[in-house]
Amino acid sequence: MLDLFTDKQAQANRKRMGAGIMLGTALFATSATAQVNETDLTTLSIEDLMGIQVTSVSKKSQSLSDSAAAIFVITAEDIQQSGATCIPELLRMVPGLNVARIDANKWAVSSRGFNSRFSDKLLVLMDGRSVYNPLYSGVYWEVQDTMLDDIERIEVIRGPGATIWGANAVNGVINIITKHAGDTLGGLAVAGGGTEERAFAAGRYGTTITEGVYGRLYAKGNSRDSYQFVTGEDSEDSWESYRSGFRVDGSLASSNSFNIQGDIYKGDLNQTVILPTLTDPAFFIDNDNVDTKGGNILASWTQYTSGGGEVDLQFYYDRASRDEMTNHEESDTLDLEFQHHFSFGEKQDLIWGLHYRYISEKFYNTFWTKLEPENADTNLFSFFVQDEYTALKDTLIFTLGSKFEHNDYTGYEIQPSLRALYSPLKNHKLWGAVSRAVRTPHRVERNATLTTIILPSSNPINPLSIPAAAGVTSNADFDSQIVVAYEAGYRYLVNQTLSLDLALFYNDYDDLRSTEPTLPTINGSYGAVYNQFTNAAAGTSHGLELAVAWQALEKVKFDFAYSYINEDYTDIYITQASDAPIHQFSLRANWKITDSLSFDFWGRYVSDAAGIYVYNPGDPYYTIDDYFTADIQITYRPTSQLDIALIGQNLLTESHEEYVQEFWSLPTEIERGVYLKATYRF
Amino acid sequence: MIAGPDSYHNFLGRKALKRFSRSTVLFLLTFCWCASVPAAPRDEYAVKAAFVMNFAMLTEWPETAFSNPTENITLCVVGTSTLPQAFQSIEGKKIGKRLLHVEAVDSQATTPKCHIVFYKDEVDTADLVRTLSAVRGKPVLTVGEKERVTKLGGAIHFYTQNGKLKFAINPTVIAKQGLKLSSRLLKIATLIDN
Repeated sequence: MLDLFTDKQAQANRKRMGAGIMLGTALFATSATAQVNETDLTTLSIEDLMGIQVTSVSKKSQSLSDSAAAIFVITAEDIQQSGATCIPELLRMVPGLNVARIDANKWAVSSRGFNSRFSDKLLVLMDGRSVYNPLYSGVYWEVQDTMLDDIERIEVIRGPGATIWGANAVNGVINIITKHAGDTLGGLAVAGGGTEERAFAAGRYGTTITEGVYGRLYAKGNSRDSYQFVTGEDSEDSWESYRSGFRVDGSLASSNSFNIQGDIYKGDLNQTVILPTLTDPAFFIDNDNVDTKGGNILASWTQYTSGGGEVDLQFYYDRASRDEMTNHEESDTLDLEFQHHFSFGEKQDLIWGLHYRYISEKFYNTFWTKLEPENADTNLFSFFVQDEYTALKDTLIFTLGSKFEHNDYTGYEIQPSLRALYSPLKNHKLWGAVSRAVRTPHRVERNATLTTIILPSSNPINPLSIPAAAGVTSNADFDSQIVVAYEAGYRYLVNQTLSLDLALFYNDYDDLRSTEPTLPTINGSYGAVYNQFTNAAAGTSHGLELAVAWQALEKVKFDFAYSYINEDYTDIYITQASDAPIHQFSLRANWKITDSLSFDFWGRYVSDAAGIYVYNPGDPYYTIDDYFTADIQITYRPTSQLDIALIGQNLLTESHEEYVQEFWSLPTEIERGVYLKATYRF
Repeated sequence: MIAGPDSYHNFLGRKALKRFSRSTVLFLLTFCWCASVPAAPRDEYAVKAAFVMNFAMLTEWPETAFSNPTENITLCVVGTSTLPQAFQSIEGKKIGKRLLHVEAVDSQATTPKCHIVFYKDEVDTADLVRTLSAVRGKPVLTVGEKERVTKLGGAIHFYTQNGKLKFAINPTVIAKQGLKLSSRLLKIATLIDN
């Protein structure tokens, strides 16, 4: 279920995932230090109290998450210190995620393997609104954006989250949560530019609409430069994006909260495509312009009951369209959700909910993408229930729940999970979980034929004596892919400045997507030799993720992340999947040199990876070399209202390759960039 | 430290030295005693609790806020974690004819009957807005740890200046709540109008 929507709901969601997520670092309140022998402060006059020196309550310190799941939280401070200008770039700091930029305006993002431009095992929500594309269950990251300064936090859960969030939350859930409008009063203006981040500007203004009701408006625009192909030529993938939106939050009484928000966006993206054609030499390379447009509106109401429970109701409508050479798609989504959270006795904390989603999709077929039928309407119904049982107060908590979902393709799906959190001591926490999740079929697997290559008659794998179109084709019997995940974790707060968070997983997959050749057919002047989607693959993966946060000195902080994954699936040629980088490192350092000057460093290493690239001569197995890269940010704050920052990105090499899209695209490298940014608050 | 170094013994006579030492001891003792209060930094919550107790003493509630002349003044400390010990220690303090009663309130709860609400910093904005809207126009003194609380309609917030706690009051909100603050309080406060 889908919604981290207000902070209130976020809290409810935290409860669902175990026992409540504490942020990795949180404001730590030192309890009264009980300094005996000191004057009883309550005997002093108020004038004398004004003269007392105080130790700061809000000094930065750390606390451990109470979640029985592998969770990482990107805070507003992490965002500010990252120098990143878009959401997918921020996700590189999360252990267990693999973020690979395909070209200037495309990303492949996945959790615990299976990375692809068309990654389909990750659920992404923005303020409770699902942003995956219903056509292929992936995310067009280039159109998921907002004012980064207005993001409260991004919660990333690796591993199945299906019990709560439903199908697609197979290997992870990303919740992007924006700030309450009461936290963004006043104005903010951001502007800057540089070599890759050509020019950008953003503005936001927040105000009190009436007592207890707050609102903000924002608008932003970015113009970004193109990258280069691995051959060194310009990849002609520069892009521009524009976006505007609002958010209103309020309460009409102490027993309710409400929220209304919406956005509209437009993107103008250039790309270079390589497309198959029936005329010699069987393919052409062209510049294409992608037109993306969309908008959404969301409303939610939370009613608090006197017994300490709450009832949430949320509705949203989302429209998205994308027009490019290979496809033109439009989707309209209506989503309605109800949730009830309450305590039952001393030890039981229950949450249950109902959810309905309607998606209407329009598609306009091209030579390369054909859907049958072109248009489709789908309905999704679900029910979930989860109980959190406190076996031993503050020590042992069990969470048991399941989602029951009905979709138009595979009917009913059941996705249960059992989690346990054990805290033998305040600074040691152990958790474990077993869960089952499914990835239900999407329209491409059920309705589409994608033509990715034309095989000349001379090609040895073409069995016909005429040119043959090849690619992948749908299967009306394609079924859900299943994972059973076994997870465990350990969190240790060494002292108030150092914490470790370790997660281990073993995923057992069944009915994974594979492809099998179909019988060749002749279609007039050319043949057709397509591979059909099947569920014949299986396999396992296991791995480890470690996050370390260390406040080394009062003004120096380090955040370290390491990810390890070992995959063992049925042959990559059959699954057409990818080989994940086995090792990934991220090290972030923040140094507050003075009150007005700070320095941030972010270094990353990603080991070798591989994928299937159909245009690779001879063998479609395409390897990506490992890479090191680093970003630097220097921020100067002449007044409390103004920040001026100089940011360098991907500084270590002139360019590097991170990924290649399976087809219709040319291998592209990410270039080094430098930009200057000014932020003014009023 | 008090006894002079060897050179003094040579320079001053015994008697003089004795007198000098005694006066030095006295002087230093006095100085140390005076300095002891401001010198050792105190836990922020302990100081805030003492401030809140003073606010209670320097605020006049309308008669309608209490059912009888000796009813307790209820201070609700709103947060998601346990009540800081400093606030526990002001439980039962005498405020005129009344006693101060301190209650920890979970930020997700709907606010019970309170005369003073102290919002801990961890309270999220949605809860803050919700509970503030419930006491609007009612005789409840709302106090926050940060400016956020007065920006969203609260009456008082704390802030730190040169390591010392100060507070800001919004007199418009105080008037709307039907409360009267002592001029002594207004004199030392920073007055704001959000």
